[in-house]
Amino acid sequence: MNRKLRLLHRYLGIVSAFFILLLSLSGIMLNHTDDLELDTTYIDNPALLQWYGIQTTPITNFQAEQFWVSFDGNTVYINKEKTGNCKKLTGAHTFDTLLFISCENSLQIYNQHSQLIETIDKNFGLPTPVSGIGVNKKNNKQQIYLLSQGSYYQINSQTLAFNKLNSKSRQISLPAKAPTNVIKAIKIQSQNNGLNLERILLDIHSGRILGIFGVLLIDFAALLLIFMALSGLWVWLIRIR
Amino acid sequence: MLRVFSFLLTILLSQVSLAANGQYMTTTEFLEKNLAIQKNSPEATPDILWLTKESKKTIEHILGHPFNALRLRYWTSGNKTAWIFNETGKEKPITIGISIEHLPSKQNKITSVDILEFRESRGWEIRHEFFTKQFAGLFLTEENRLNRRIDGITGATLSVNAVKRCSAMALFIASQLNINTEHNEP
Repeated sequence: MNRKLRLLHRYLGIVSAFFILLLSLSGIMLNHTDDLELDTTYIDNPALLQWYGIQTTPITNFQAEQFWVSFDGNTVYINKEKTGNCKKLTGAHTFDTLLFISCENSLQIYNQHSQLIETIDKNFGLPTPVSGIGVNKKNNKQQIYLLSQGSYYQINSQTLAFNKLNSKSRQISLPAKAPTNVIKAIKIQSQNNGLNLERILLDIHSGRILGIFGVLLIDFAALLLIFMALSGLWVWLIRIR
Repeated sequence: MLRVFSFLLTILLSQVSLAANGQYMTTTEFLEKNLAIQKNSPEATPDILWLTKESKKTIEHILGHPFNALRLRYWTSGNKTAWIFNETGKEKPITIGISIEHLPSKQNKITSVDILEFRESRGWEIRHEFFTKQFAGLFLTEENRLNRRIDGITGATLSVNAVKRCSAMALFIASQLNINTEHNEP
């Protein structure tokens, strides 16, 4: 009996080595979450994000002179800084020292310091849905206009007049490829409500990363370690007798 | 028989609640109703009020959250002004129209509150007159609060609070018009 117990202890010890290493290493890391910045390190690995069911929306960017206007599916950013929400970003253009950002259901006007001056929606006469914004020169004068349902409307941001234009085709601002540092900064902010390293380690430590199977596996590991402790104690007691 | 009746009643009421959110009034209708402003008339073009830093601070205190705009639009007719705000109830914005009568004593009062658009599935009862008529005659106290308690609606607390916040804000902003000239660009 004692010999069988010693053998069982020996072989199960080999099996439990994997769990001991896994739980110890993850446990030590979790104990030092702040020092290792686990809670502020965000994951952008597509496979892991998919595993957690987190959808990644491609980031849309428009360039308007010195401004990079980006959209992550929910939030508008100006030069990497969060500014406000939008249903769908459709364009951006500077005009008369102001920055105009068109969303599907609103027109946002910002000053040169990226401060929001006002948001105009259909309650103030904005033709919706807005599918683009553009600027052109006519008779030596610049005019800003938006595109809605196939028609162009000149914008007067002072009087909030939206005068339908006769043009059939005009240029509107198009999405552009933003610099890598802009994309990276947006992604980090965009994922701030997403998946961090702390979450992943907690799930590995508890087994939850593999769902109910993982949880039961860690429960089994715990029982295994209990057996190892008790069997080890027993073997030692027998030996000293 | 009772089961069939209960089932039909559930279906009927669920359809009512689904149909309850939406646009109830356009801006044109709101302005016509409260300020007798006709579409395409000169008064239909809104004026601009630029906000000072102090005003913005007070507005943020009234609303209880950041307020990100440097100017607001409003309509004027005689001694009345009308304002339209979007304020979030639970998750989505509610479009609220508020008309204010400006009095010589500077105790401006609300003449009407209208819900122009409601976007959530619950709380839409605020659009009814039994709720909005409570706001008529209200003015702002020195603490920037409404001078009278508003009876809430069970299950619509967040929507009710959004309307209350906007009403207090409208009264405060309207009081700025008395002090400042109408086009006061900083």
